[in-house]
Order: sequence, then C-alpha cells, then structure tokens
Amino acid sequence: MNNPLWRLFSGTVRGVNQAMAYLSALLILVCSFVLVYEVITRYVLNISNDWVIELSIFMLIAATFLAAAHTQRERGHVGIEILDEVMSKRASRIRLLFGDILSMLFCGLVAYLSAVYCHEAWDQGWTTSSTWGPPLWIPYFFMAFGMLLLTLQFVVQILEGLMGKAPELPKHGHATTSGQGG
Amino acid sequence: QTTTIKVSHQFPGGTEEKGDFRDRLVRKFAREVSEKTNGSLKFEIFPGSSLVKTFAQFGALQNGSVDMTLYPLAYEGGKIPQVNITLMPGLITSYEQGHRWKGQPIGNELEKLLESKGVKVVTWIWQAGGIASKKKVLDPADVKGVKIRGASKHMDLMLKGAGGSITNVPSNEVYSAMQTGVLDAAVTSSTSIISFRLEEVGDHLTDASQNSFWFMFEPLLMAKSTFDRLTPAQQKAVMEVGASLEKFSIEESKKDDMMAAEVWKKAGKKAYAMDDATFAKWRAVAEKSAWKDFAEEVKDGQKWLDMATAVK
Amino acid sequence: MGVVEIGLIYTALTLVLLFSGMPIAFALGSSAVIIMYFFMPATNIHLIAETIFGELDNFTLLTIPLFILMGAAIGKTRAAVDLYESAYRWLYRMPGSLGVANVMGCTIFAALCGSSPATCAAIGGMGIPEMRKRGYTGALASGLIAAGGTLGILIPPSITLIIYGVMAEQSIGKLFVAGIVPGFLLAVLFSVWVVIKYIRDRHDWMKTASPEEIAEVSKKEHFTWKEKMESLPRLLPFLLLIGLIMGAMYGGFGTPSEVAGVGAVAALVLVIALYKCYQWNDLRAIFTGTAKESCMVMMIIAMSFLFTYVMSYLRISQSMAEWLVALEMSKWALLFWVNMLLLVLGFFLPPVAIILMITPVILPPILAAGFDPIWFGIILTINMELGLITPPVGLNLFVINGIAPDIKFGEIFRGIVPFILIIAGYIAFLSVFPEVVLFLPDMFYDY
Ligand code: NA
Ligand code: NA
Repeated sequence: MNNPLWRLFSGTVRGVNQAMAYLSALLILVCSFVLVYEVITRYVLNISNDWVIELSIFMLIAATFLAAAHTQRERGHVGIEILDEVMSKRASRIRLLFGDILSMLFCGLVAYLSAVYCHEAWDQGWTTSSTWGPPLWIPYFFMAFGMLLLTLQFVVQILEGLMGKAPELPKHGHATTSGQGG
Repeated sequence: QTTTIKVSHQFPGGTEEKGDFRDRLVRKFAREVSEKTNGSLKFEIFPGSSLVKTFAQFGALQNGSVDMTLYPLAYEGGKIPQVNITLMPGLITSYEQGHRWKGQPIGNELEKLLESKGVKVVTWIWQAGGIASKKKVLDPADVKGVKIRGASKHMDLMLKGAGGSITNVPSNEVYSAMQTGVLDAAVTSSTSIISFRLEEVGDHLTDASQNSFWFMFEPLLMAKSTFDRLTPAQQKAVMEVGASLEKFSIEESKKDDMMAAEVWKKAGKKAYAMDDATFAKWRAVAEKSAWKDFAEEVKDGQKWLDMATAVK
Repeated sequence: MGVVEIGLIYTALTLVLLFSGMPIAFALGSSAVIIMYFFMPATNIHLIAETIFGELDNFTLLTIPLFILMGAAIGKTRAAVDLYESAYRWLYRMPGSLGVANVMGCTIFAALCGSSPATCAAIGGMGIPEMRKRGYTGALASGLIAAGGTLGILIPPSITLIIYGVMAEQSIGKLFVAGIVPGFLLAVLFSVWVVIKYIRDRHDWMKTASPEEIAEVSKKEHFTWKEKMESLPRLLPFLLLIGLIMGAMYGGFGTPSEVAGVGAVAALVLVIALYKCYQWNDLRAIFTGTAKESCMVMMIIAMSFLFTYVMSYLRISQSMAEWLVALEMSKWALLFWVNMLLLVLGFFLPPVAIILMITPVILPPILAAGFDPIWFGIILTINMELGLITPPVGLNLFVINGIAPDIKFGEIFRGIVPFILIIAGYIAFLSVFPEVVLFLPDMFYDY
C-alpha cells in the first residue's frame, strides 16, 4: 500500500474521477440552462432551435458516464446487501471481491466495445441524421472514457481489497440527495 | 431443418387482417414465404421496436443479429449520406414513379449501395405523408414562422428554406409537442397521422390524396448474411413474395392517404389536397435548399439526383 | 435448449449476481453478457455499445437528471423544515398535529422531488427528532416518515413514472397528472392513521407516565395568527414552483424535459436567493449529489435495457407474457398475482430495476385483460412504494436508519406495518375504483 507507484496510480485515478464528477454536474447544469433558453426563445422570439434536443441528450449521456467512476468510489451504485448480515466477514469479503472482479470485466468490455464503435464513427464520419448533424463519435467517446475510468476504479478497489484494506461499506441515507433509484 | 428469421419493425403490432399495414405486410410476407418453403423458414416478428430500438434496427440487420426489418431508410442518413435521397422533398411525384426506380439506374445504384452495407432490399415500399398543423400550411409561403418538424434532414432543410423554424421532435412525441405548443406543425406519413391521432391536436391537414412532397422509402430489408445462408429455393421464395407485396403496399398506402383526410374531416377539422401548381412551388423551394445541399455535401450527389429525376 | 430452460438459467444467474452484492446495474449487465455469450450469435456482443447508446438517446429520459437536480437543490436547504413547521403552526390544536404536519411536509416535498428516499431524508432529518421530543414513539415517528417519503414517487414529478412511461410508451404528462389525486388521498389516509395512533399511544402513555412528564408534554403551545401568517411567505415560492411544474405538465408550455429544466433552474434560483445557499460547500453538495444519483439511476437504466434486450431476443419475455395470457385467469386473479410478484421483487430491488425488468413481461397480459395503462402505472408505482418500506431491502428504511440510528430495526418495523397494510388496502381500493386515478387525466387529456 505504501508503494509509491501504487500511490501515484490510485491517487491519479481518484483525482481524475473527482474532476470528472464535477464536469458531469456542470453538464447537467448547462443542460438545464439550454432547455430554459429553448423555452424563452420559443415564447419571446417564436422560434425553435434544431440543436437543443440532440445537444441535451449528448450532454446527459456524457454526464452519466463521466460520473460513473466517482459514484463507484463512494459505492453509490446501489446493490442488494442483505447477505452482509448473514455471512461471515471473511466470506462476505470474498463475495464482494468476486462481484468487483465481474463488474470490472463487464465495464472493461463495455469500454472496449464503445471505443471500437467510437473509432468506427470517427473513421466513417458518421453523424446523426438531423440538419444539425453532430458527429456520432462524441457520445461514444464519453461512454468509452467513462467506462474506462470505471474499470480502473474497480481495479483500484480490487487491489485495495486484496491488500487487506477494509472495504468501504456503502453509506445509507448519508445525504439528502441519496435517492437510490427510488 | 428449419431456419428462424427474426423480423423487427417499429410499427404497432396486430394481425394479418387488422392494424398498421406495414405490420400486416410483414405478417403476410412471413406466412406466404413459410408456406412456399414448406415451413423450412420460420418467422418471429418483433413489432413496436420490442426487440431492437427503432434507430438500432439497421445496425442489428447489418451485423446479422436481426434478419429482417421494415425500415425508413433515411434514418441512416447520418451514416450513409446517399440514402437521404430516399426522403428528399419533391423528388418523388407519385407512388408509381417511385416504384419505377426499381430496375432503373437509380434503383440499381441504391440496391448496390445497400448490398455493400450488408443489406438486401426484399420489398420496395414508398409511403406518402402530409402536414398536420394548427394553422393552414398548404403553400410554402404558409410555413414562415411556423414551428415544424419534417422527419428527415432534407425535409427540414426545405422547410427551413421556406422560413420554418425546426425542432427535432421524435415522431412518438409529436402529439404532445403539438398539444403543448412546442410544435405548430408536423410532416409525417399518412399512417402516422392517423395512428398518432393528430386530428385531436391539429386543425388543418394538407393531405397526400393528390400530391405530396413527402415520399419516404421504407423497404422490407433482409440481412445479406442471412440471405446468403438460405437455399436457392428459399431465396427465390423470399424475393418472389417480397416483390409480389409491392402492389399491396401501394394500395394500402393510398388507402391511408385517403383515410387521413377522412378522419380529419370527420373530426370537424380541415383537410386540403395539394394541386400541381402548389406542388411545383414546394419543389422549387426544395431544389434551392435540400437538393442543393445534397448535391454539394454528398459524394456523387448530383449524379444521384440526376438518376432519380430521369425516372419519369 | 428451449426457451423455458434458458429462461430459468437466466433467472438463476441474475439472482445469484444480484445477491452477490454487486451493483445492480453491473449485475444485470453481466448476466446479460454471459447469456449472450452462450446462447446468442456472437455478433450480438458487438451491438452492446449501440444498444446502450440507443436506449439512452431518449428525449424522455433526459428529464431524470434534471428532476434530480431540482430535488437536490431544495433538499439542501431548510425548505423542508419550513414546510412542516408552517403546517404545524396551522394545525397545532389538533391531536397528532405534529405527525400530520410531517405527512404534509412529505407531501409538499414530494411535489418538488422525484424520488422517495430523498423525500424521506429531507423531512425526516428534522421531523423524527422533533416528534420524539414531543412524545411520539420511535416506531410511529420512523414509520410515518418512511411511509410519507414514499409519496415522493407517486406525487409528480416521479422518476418511477418517467421510467414506466418510457417502457410502456405512455405520456409522461398524463402519468404525472394521474398521480396527483391518488398521492394526496394516500397522504390523507396516512394522516388519519397518525392521529388515531397518536391518541392511542398517548392514552397508554398517560397510564404509566409520572405527573411531571405529563405536565411537560401537555404544556400548551400557542401560535398567534401573526405567527401563522408569518410562516406563509417562506412557503409561497415553493407552492409557486409546484404550480409552475404541475401547470406546465398538463397542456402547459413545453416538453417534459423543458419543464424539468425550467424546474431545476427555478429551484436553484430559489435556494440561492431565498436560502442564501451560495457557498461553495453547499453548491458542491448539490451538484456532486446530483451527478452521483443521476449516474446511478441512468446506469441501472442503461444496463437494464441490455438485460431486457437479451430477454426479448431469446423470446423469454414474450413467452412469459404469452404464457400469462394463455392461463386465462380472470382479470382480478391476474392482477392479484401481478401484485404478489411486484411485492416479492420489492422486498429486494429498487423501483427502477423492477420496472425495467418486469414491464415487458406483465404489461401485455395486463393490457390484454382490459386494464388501463395509465391506471396500471399508478398501481405499479404504489407497489413500488411498498417495496421501499418492506424489509429486508427497503431504501427508505435505510434512510431512517441513517437519520435516527438509535431506533432499533424492530421498532421501525412495528411502526411501518400499519402503513404497509394501508398501502396494500389502498391498491385494492384503487383497483375497484379506477376512476379515482383516471378522472383527472381524462379531464385534461381527451385521448
Ligand atoms: Na415526486
Ligand atoms: Na423492500
């Protein structure tokens, strides 16, 4: 755990993830203002803008994937934890480790497939089929990048687990915003 | 040995006798091919985008995870720019003229292009559309300042060229968009105008009973990889039944064009047919906006337009 | 292998992964990929990225992060406390008034926020300690906040209804309007129970309490008209915001996403201007909380779509739906079993995951039996409310545990049971009288 390389790696992952979470929040905020702008131009100038819907969707897809790793660091992706109560501490640790490894593999696969698609979209110059026609590689880039960060976050958490650091248990009801999918 | 063919489309599911004609066409096709091949081809139909989401159907077809789809080809305009010609305003003048593409240079080029993308055209289907709106939009001059959606890039370009204000509302949101004033008008197929019950939120319909600048190519497609796997007899059955259904598609499309107008009139709303002079005006706007863009932006665009207009 | 066998393998695999404690999103995604690998042509794997993007590329899902931002902004302020204090000043003469004020607080907050645990946390944070100070049992105080919080997904806006609307292809506006009357009516039922229970608890308590304790609790509180009126201006902006959102939803000014965007910006302006919530720390909590929660919900949505894609490709969902239809149960038997299924799933899973996984299977038979899709959306949502307060996994229960860690689980459970029974009875009531749900949407939407 005190290996400087490890500290550099986990520190970098942590820092980047935190920054991406802020960027994600900023995108959601900007998206709200864009929609307000659309409503205002429609009522004041009686015009609509052909880019609003696509831009908003792209921003929110980016926001979703950019925040994924930070959310995982705080164990904010909700799971069913009732076996925590029933199983021994040791058994539970193995079980959670197994879950983290499978999650890592899954997220790594999605990151890879998104990157492949992103490359193809870039290479072929694919766009959406509207008059505005933004390039399609943009959302796929954010998917690939976000899932890559998430994969690395799982790597950090798996290694921490193996090195004997007690897993950070999910915090329930820690914030007024913890909607947990309800 | 039976082969299962997965067919996906975005339209409401029904039976062979009742419902959206595009779903009925698929079911007819499935039954007739199945009969002709003595049950060696079995069909599973997934209506209403219940298998793959609407816009992902073409990609699923290309990589073979779906075998067939009935699909508005212009949806792929962002990826295959040439297919924008299949929803080009004012280009097609009638169902008959559209169907004459088949076998002509334009039709052959289009089929060749699609085969190079891993997709085979089984049934040629064109569908006309009209303008559902809150205030009358018949002449290009009427569209000035109207918040409208045209359902494809080049329709939008023409409407913009006529002074309209464009919003990209997806077709299933058109009803609520018109209700809440997000849209004043929408151009879409006659079948959709009926099935989305737009007469409840609009007051004026420019119908497709006489002329329409909105003809959309919506073929029944098969993945080339699937087609190549079939025996010659099966391939023959697929192509024969496919071609035989073109007549059915024209009849049913025309019925829907008439029915849309009837539904609106019955609901106490106005419906107008478009005369030849008005159509010519739209076509003039389209040539200066949408066609121009296509000729300039798409590789061989002008050549494609010339081939299309060569079909009389 | 047949559909049944693959379906059973898929179900078993999914259950194992879900109960492994993995995040639900990745458990669903992994089981989908594993089944894809073994039972579907390899080309499907390459469709994963496109499927995820295709599903998220949705105009309606856009509303979710925006409504979360709105709820997060308001949840960060003292607004919730103001809500219930004001209610209390007006109601204080009535027995059980503080409890009723808390239910009212939950109701109003629910109209500003799309999720239940957030509603629970916002009102309960002050409400539970306050109630206990004034002689409410831990059971009643925690039970009523847990149950009151569930109104968050019934009274619009509601993430649950948005997701149902996307899955069932129903108008979000219409679903929201349909949630209003059942939501307020349920709040009334909760209030009635609180008053009854308060009076009974108090009666028992009087028998055992010492004279000093009785004197302490029955100290007369009094609010003058001036004090009552004073509390209103703080409430007014929120009532205006609720009015804006509800008004905009039916026949109003824009699409659901525009309404959500305007609501989020308005809520931010409100908390900054009125509650002086402009310190970096406050804002940071609002924004990172929003990013985190919407990411969590959107991830479940994205991966559930992968899960249902596999179910659909292998015809598992269609076969299950066809099987349910072929049983030819009476419509009430069907509804009963659907409710039972939802109850069981609700023991363990959050609403988002349940709706995404189960709608393709149960909606076709429900519609075939002649039930209304809007009405069913509300029944489904009330079922989801139950799931939020039933052990072993009930998100609202965890929130209560976070707010008041000293209340034992058994006590919370005792407090929650009557509310579970009320909600179950309420589902039966709305099944017999669907007009209660439908008259308002039918009035505003003539289709
Ligand atoms: Na709500
Ligand atoms: Na539960």
